Order: sequence, then structure tokens, then C-alpha cells
Amino acid sequence: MRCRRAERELAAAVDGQLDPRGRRALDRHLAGCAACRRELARSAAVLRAVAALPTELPVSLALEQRTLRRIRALEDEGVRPFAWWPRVSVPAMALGAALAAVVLVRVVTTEDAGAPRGPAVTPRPQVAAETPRAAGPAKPSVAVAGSKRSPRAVASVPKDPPPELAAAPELFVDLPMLRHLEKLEHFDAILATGLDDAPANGDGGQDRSNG
Amino acid sequence: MRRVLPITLLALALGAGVVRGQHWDGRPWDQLSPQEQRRAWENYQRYQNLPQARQRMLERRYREFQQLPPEQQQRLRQNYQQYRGLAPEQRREFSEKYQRWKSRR
Repeated sequence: MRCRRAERELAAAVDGQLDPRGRRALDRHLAGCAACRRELARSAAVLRAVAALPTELPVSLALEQRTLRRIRALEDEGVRPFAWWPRVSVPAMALGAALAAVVLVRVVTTEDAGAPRGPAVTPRPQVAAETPRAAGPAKPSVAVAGSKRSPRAVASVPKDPPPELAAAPELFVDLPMLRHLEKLEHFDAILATGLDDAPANGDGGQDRSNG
Repeated sequence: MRRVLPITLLALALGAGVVRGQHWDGRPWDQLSPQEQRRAWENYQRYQNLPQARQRMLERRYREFQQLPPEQQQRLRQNYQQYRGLAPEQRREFSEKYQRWKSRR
């Protein structure tokens, strides 16, 4: 066995994964090669040092409490970071990518429609259809050709909202507020609540502990 | 028995239709500003991911909110703006106070 091969076998030998035949061959080489013996000793020392590292680092009680409070606060607010991620299947991601590509092409072509590229380029009929549906200052301009709106906004808001959204748009505008309605109803009382062990006062200083 | 099932199914279908076609007060979509439309659309997508029970709860709260006098609605909106304006640390403290307040009710 030469040194080059011995070096390759050293890691497996240190991990105890070398088969007996390979181990014997390596031992024969090591018996006559001081350089490889040193290399083996270094590798073994490194592995021992790594193995001696703690797998869990001690965390201060204060940090742990802060983290737990933050998690509880997020849960209370209904925040579920990346809760959607595990549920996205591969076909759904493929469909999403395809839709994103379509939207991107549409945005690019919409922006290009107004540029003087030559006689072959004409504004797409779809763009004309996306002009405001009715006149008036309060009317939405979801995707106006030549407007300065960002592509994200153009792509995200549908021209025709789903029936559920169209039926009660303000419900969805106010959705975050509705989530916190109880907090908001008793906002002042909650603000006045103490975090110490003393009894908290309710609205206007009245004790709400009797609810 | 043969008649009961179709009638039940019909009643359920009609009931679902009533729920689906329920009347909501408030401004129609076209009267929302573009910003409101975008917010509504984004919130609608989040709403779709909520469990049905939570969706119903939010609808109920929306009805309750709509039935409040305008000045009370305004007060809640102001409180919400104040709540939104809280710094993260203040928000956390508020949530803790809320939990404390709730447990004492």
C-alpha cells in the first residue's frame, strides 16, 4: 500500500469502518511509515475533540423565558410562520411556478406594449380590458396599462375578485383587526393590567377580575 | 326513507346556498381604494388557509363589528392603529398583559 491510498483509508480506519482485510493492509503500511502514523494520530485527536464537544449548549433561563414568551405571543396573534410550507406538494409547487411564469410573461408583455419596438408590436387587447372598469376617482386601477404600479401589485390583485371576497370585501380589509377584536374592545383595561402579582385594575380602575 | 334522503340533501344544499349567498353590509369591491383591494386580497388568501371554525368566528366578529355604533367602530379602529404602532417589545408586553387580564376575568 502506498501513502496516497493509506491516506484515503485513514478516515475509515479512525471511524472503525475499515474491513479487516483493509485494516491489516493499512497496519502493515503504518508499521513502516512514520508520516502516515502521525496523520492517523492527528485524525484520531481531531475526532476525539469533536466527540467531546457538548451536543447541547446551556441556555440562560432569561433567554429561554423570553423565547417562550415570544412564541406564546406569536401563537396568540395567530402567526404561524411558514405554516403553509409543509403542505405544499411538488405538483402544487410546479403549478405555482408555471403560474408565476405566466404572470411574469404577462407583466413583461404589458410593459413592452407601450414601448416603440416597431410595427409588429401592438398593445394587447387584454391590456385594454384591464383599464378601470368604471370611471370615477375612487375606482380601482388594478392593472392600468402604462401605470407606475409595481408588477407585484398588478399580478397579485385579481381583476374580478372571488365571490366570497366580492361579497364582503370589508371583512377582508379589516381581517387583522377582527382577529384582535377582543383585545381592542378592552384595550385600555389590558394596558392598565399589571404584570406583577398585584391584582390588576380594569377599565376606569374597576377590578375586572370578577369578569 | 327514500324520500327523506333527497329532502335532507335538498335542505342542506339550500342551507349552504343561504350561507353562501348571505348578505353583507359594507362597501362593495369597486368602492375600495386600490390599497384596500390589495389588503383585502392578501387577507382573503390568508383567510383561505384558516380552519373553517376560525373563518366562521371571524365572520361572526365582522357581523358584530358592523352592528356597533359608528363611534364605537371608530374607537376600535383607533385602538387597532395604536396596537399596530406598538414596538415589538411593547407588543410582547401587551400580549402578556392580555393573557394576564384574560385569566383574571
